[in-house]
Amino acid sequence: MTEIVFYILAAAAVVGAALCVLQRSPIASALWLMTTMFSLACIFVLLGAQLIGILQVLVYVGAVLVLFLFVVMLLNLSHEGSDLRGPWGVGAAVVVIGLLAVELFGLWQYTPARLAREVAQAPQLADPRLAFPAALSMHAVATPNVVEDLAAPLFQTYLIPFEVTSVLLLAAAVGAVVLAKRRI
Amino acid sequence: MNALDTTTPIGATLALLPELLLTGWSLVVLLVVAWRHEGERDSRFAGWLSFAGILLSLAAVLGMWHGDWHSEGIAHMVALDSFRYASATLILLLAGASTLLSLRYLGRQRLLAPEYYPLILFATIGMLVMAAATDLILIFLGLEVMSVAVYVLSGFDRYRRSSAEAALKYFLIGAFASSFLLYGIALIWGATGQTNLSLIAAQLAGGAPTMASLGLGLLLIGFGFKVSAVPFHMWAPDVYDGAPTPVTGFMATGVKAAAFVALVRVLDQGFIAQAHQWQPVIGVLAVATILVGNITALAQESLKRMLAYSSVAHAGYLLVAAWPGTAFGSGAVLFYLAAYCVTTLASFGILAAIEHVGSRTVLIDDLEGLFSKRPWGATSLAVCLLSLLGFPGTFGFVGKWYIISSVLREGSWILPVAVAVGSLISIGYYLPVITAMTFKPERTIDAHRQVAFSRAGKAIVAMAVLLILLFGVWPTALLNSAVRSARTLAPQAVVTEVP
Repeated sequence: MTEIVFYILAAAAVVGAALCVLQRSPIASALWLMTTMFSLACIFVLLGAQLIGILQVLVYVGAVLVLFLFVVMLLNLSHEGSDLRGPWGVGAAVVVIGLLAVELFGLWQYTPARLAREVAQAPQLADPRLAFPAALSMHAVATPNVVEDLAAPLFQTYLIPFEVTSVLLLAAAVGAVVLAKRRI
Repeated sequence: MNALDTTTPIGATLALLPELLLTGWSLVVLLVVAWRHEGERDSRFAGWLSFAGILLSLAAVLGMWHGDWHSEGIAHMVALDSFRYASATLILLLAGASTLLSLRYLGRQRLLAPEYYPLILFATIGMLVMAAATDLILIFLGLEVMSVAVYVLSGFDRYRRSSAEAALKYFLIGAFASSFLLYGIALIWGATGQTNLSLIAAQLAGGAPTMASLGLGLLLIGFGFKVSAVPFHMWAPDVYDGAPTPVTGFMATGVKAAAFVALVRVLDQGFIAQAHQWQPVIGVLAVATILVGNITALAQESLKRMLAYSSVAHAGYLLVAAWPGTAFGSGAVLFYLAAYCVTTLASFGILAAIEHVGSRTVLIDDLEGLFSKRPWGATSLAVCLLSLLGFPGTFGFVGKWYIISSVLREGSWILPVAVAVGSLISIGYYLPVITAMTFKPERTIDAHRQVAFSRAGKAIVAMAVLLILLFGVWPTALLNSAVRSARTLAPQAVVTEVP
């Protein structure tokens, strides 16, 4: 049953991706990209990674794609023939497809057994929990769960970088408005 | 004695007190600016408000320094040592002086968008984070906060082509440099499993795997772009030339100071055991930067471009000071940074007052006869240039002498010779400016009529000149303080057993 659902979702993702590239209108392309992202989110849920699935919808479908649509509308792009269809474009496409094929082949060779062997052979690293005794208690609180595994480092160990990132985004937003607005 | 545990929420909050105060204040300024953004008066009000925030943050830094706040065990993310306090003090003083120097300039050049000042505050927050960070992730984020704000500031004069070009160039090259830095951090993390500098040092104490050395190399390239070391300096002259002059002053001093203190902390705290690997790289970069920067500066006709190349050359002297990796070397970095930043900021402040409304460049020939019309301004510029040159009796001379002695202590003679040769070459472009100002008559009767210092600008320049002369003859207290601060940089011992 799961397999059938997976194949339906995978087919939707591939068809969406293909139509995204083939459509002439940028708006239609963006909407097809959304189909692909939704299908990928569903596949993540099938894999048991609910959080990543939800984040996929929130970040890619919610934020990134809306941004795409805004940019497309603001820039008033007209439907022009692409200049990537000449012999150079075809050559570049062949090279990229070849590289992707090599990568897929490499991934196919990489079995779970090989991964386990490599992890076993890797050198032992110093445990940060030993270096920061106070952090030990914080780690003990976290129970095995996808959301908490992600949240504990984000809001405990890496709280300060997380907060500095918000300052970075604010500075970037203010800067973008200052540079882009015609009259402030 | 105040020991803070930076892994607890309260400890982390207190450890970041200056940064938090400045962030909160910048949000207030941003809100005020949203309501009051009409004319020159509102712009000046925003400037003074930002200056007050910088003073508040400076008070927090000085309080922490005076109270000797230090971290309990290893500093997690944020350092609590005098090296951080000393560099944060320098950065905040530079930010405050840049704010005051901008007040009149922005009005004169009709750059009245008051968002300028919150952006200066954001850049300062990034610099403070860089000076405080003991974790590669935080160093990277601080660098990005600073860079994003400075990209926008350099393009603030949107209607002038050169300013827009400067912003775009700086943004593209800056993004390129950040990617080197980030990839270096990723490789170091891959080799050691750590991003904390002290833990990296513990992991690499027995020798570094190739991946870690490769990561360190990429890290050095990233920093090389940010401090404009040759051969990564190509962006600097165009960007310094195109940006509004007070911003150029802020970029040439604050950005460079923050990048250097972060670089010194990374090298001395995280990779001191790998000194034999990075010392040759730093040495070659230093010699190339000194020679190329000084020789190219000889050919410049515009004062701003000449100062830009001179700031490239000074990055070379600072790299020489970073070379030994000892407390004396890093103390020399701090001391020379103070000397270089005070002098350069004052030079750009004077240049901003000399610039005509809307005109792009001040040629060195345009300064002819400045002394007879504006004796104090001309004398101040002469003192600044002599200090940059390293003339005895000035701040710059003591700094250079101290760099040379700290390198000689480690037994290198090539680098001191490079510093001396570079200073000799630099006579060739600093002295003509001084002779043009003093010995030649002015070209037209109304030359220099537009030169206008604001009261705040006058005060800043006068204070800088006094500091240059004061520390030129009485440097002992500052020298000792710099070395004491640099001593706190040694990697901290790591506990490897369960307590």
